[in-house]
Amino acid sequence: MPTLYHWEPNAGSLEVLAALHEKNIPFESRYVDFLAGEMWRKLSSQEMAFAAEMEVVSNLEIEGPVLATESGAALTDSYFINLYLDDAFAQTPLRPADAESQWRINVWARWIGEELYPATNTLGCAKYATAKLKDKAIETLPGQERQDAWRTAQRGYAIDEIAEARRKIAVMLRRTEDALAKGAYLVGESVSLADFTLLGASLSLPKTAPDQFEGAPYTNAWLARMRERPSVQAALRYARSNAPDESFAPGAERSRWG
Amino acid sequence: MLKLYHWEPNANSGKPMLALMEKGVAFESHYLDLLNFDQHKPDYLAINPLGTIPALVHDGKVFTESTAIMEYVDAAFEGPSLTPVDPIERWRMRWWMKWFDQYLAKSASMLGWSVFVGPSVRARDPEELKAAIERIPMKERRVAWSKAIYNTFSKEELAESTRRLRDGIGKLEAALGARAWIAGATYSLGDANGFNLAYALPLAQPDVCNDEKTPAIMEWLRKIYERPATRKCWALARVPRMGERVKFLERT
Repeated sequence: MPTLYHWEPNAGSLEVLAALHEKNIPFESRYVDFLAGEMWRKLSSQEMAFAAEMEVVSNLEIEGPVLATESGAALTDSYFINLYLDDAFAQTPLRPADAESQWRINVWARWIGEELYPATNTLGCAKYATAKLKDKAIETLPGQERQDAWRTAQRGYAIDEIAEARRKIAVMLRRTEDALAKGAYLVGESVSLADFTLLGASLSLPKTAPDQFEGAPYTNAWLARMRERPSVQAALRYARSNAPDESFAPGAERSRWG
Repeated sequence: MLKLYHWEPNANSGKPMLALMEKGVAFESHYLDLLNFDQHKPDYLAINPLGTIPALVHDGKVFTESTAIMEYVDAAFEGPSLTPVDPIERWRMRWWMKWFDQYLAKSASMLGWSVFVGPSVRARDPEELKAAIERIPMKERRVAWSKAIYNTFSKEELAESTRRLRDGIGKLEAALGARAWIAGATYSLGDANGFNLAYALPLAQPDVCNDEKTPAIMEWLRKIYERPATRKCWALARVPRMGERVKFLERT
């Protein structure tokens, strides 16, 4: 069975844990503390030797879950892991079969991954992670981008970075409000991978951007519905802290260009 | 009826063009001149209000986001499949397309706009340029155009883009040294996506991307360039400098 290396059920870890449970896929859970740099400190260990692979080190989520498959592959990027699960395990498909719906899900994943997630992660790190980041841990991290992301979070974000994150959240909430006013889920009649991607990126919004989130009633109702799903409840039980929605590690940078 | 709104067969515009050519799907080509700001004019904004190119119109529905369009084209039309059968190879194809789009292309594009797009339009009437920037719907695109037109890139961001491009060349060479194509054993959307960006690497960074230092990248580019679909796609180039650019990939 596959093994999922994940942290607290927030962001990408929540996205994949919930999809595994929604599809009823048996897997082994390995808890890794992302904020302590555990994935990278164990780089040379037998168990996490995969952490040196290009697609793991250069994953654009920066800190995210890794799915080790039975065949020995190490898969990263939460949305692409979920697409793999949907391709490889036929039960409970989480994408409609038609090409147009699949395009819609891809577009949501792109918007959420490139715009919403970096924004919520910036607000989350500013509120919950900055004070916990230590020079010694940062020096051992692989990759220039990762070290840069952690140092930026350690210094604290500039006012205009926070303002840009809030602007992106406003743009995305307008999109989710438009979609969820028309239906219970982002794409089609039932839950899809788009909803699990949004769930990971938005679980923390009631705490990190409460004023903005309160102004989005359809997205509020959607999040409440998602939290009630047995798969999401099961995913949230992997938490070791009292507040998984306060668990952030520096990650995904906002787009540098265009 | 299928219509594609696109610029040159390069970067984002080239991605769905090449996918359609590989599938053998006929489409009505609508060329928008990016350097003339056609993509921000009312006619096109009526089709794609965000003013980004490319856009595909299929049976009256509008599809945007170039890589998502490629996957749509492969799923919606007959023709040879451009997605691997093996789920792990599919994952790898998607992973690399995102890395091309969101990592390597951001840096390559920033540098390209600073040396080509900006200088191509800068000499025009300042009032006309100011009005052109104000018409752009997305803030991110307004910032990009403004930097290109007024040449306000910071030294640091250009240096970081150059570092990422050179570092990325090494990563791409390692990946292509291990596999025939980017996802595995077969040509896929990932290769078509990558070509649109990577053909420019030996031109932009010749000291680190060449036959001697990156033989796997060079062979991969030539193999893609030789495909009939790629030839057909690049025959649609209108900017002379663009059409000429890929010719260095001819085998001698």
